[in-house]
Amino acid sequence: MIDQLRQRARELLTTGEAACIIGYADASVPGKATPIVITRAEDADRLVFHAACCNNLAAYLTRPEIRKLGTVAMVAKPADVRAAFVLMQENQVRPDDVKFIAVDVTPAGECTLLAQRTREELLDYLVKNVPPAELADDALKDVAALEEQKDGERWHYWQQQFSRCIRCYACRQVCPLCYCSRCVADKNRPQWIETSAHGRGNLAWNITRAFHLAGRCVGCGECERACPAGIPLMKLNRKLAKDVRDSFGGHAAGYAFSGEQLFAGYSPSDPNDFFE
Amino acid sequence: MAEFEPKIAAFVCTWCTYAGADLAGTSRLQYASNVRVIKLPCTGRIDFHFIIKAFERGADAVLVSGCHPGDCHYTAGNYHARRRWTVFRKLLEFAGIEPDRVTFAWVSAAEGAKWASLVNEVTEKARKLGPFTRYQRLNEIAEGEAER
Repeated sequence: MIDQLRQRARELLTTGEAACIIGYADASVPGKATPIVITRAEDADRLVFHAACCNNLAAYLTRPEIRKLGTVAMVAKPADVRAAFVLMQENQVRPDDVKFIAVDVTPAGECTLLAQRTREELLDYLVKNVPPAELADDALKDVAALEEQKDGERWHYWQQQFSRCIRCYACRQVCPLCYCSRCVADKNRPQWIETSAHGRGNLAWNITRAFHLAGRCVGCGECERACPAGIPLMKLNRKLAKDVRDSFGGHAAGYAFSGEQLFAGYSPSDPNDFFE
Repeated sequence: MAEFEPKIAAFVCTWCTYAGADLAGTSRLQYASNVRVIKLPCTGRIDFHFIIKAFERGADAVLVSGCHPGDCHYTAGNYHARRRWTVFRKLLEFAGIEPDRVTFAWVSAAEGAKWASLVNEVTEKARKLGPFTRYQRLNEIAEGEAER
């Protein structure tokens, strides 16, 4: 499989179809992988793909230094493809500027290179084979368990979790959809989110991060993996994904690469029952 | 001990609810004085940060109100806002904030009486919940840190 992937990468670079390949290489720590950008065909042999390749590489598509290279090809797991689709939908990347070297992991744990290459083919593959991970019944169990608790207990739970936040913003940096060049958390006139890592600032930040991804999060789980404090951020993301699905006709992010983004639009028939 | 008087921050649009509140005033309607009205161009302009900031500044409850669906001065600002609030209110609840701390309403420029009764209702709800001690505890810690 890895030979085919490297061959495809070489092909894209030598024909000039892509100016660079965003992929994974083995990291200096044994068993770990790190994102890598290659521009020369002879470097294709450095590419790897295995279970430790976890970063969502769509995060690199919006970086200025990648953008200026022109057409890029990315090694993309289903979640990476979904994230890239959301970026296309939000006009953050030009659809024709991204080529996919799509990969997936079978239920048995086998890494495969997909035959699908175009975004239409990949969309079809996602719709048929990859249900949204963040909305899986199993994944929603812990959300439901928390929902059933009293509000005081939920408050206590999240305060305990957020109290460990050190405001490193790793959750934001690793997220393919947190692409604002100036984040609201970094602005101080006015300062909506306090930068101090106290309960009040941490609550404001974590609510903001979660809500800014509502209807957009593709459930790759990178924020939670990157969090050095082990805050269960996906629990917030899954809660939002579930509410969005239930309120807006089964919406799940990343299953379209064009059309209107959920919160950029509206419908006169949206829920109205909570208004006095 | 004096009865607890909740502080309520009301974010209203200038075209409908603010005019409705104005009508309540010119009609000499009496209603709870616990509300602090903050006027904005449209409900679509009401960012969720406003709600969080209101709690950070000591509000016990927040009221968000604007033009009825279909009546927005800017055609669709309230529709966009409604879509956001649908999800945001659930997120606040999930984080452990009682749903009755945040009220959403549509009050037109003609509904002075509705505004008056709405404010009374929100004030009563907040009175029942009592001071928002959970958040105020966070405020004390944060402000204590700032002084140090």
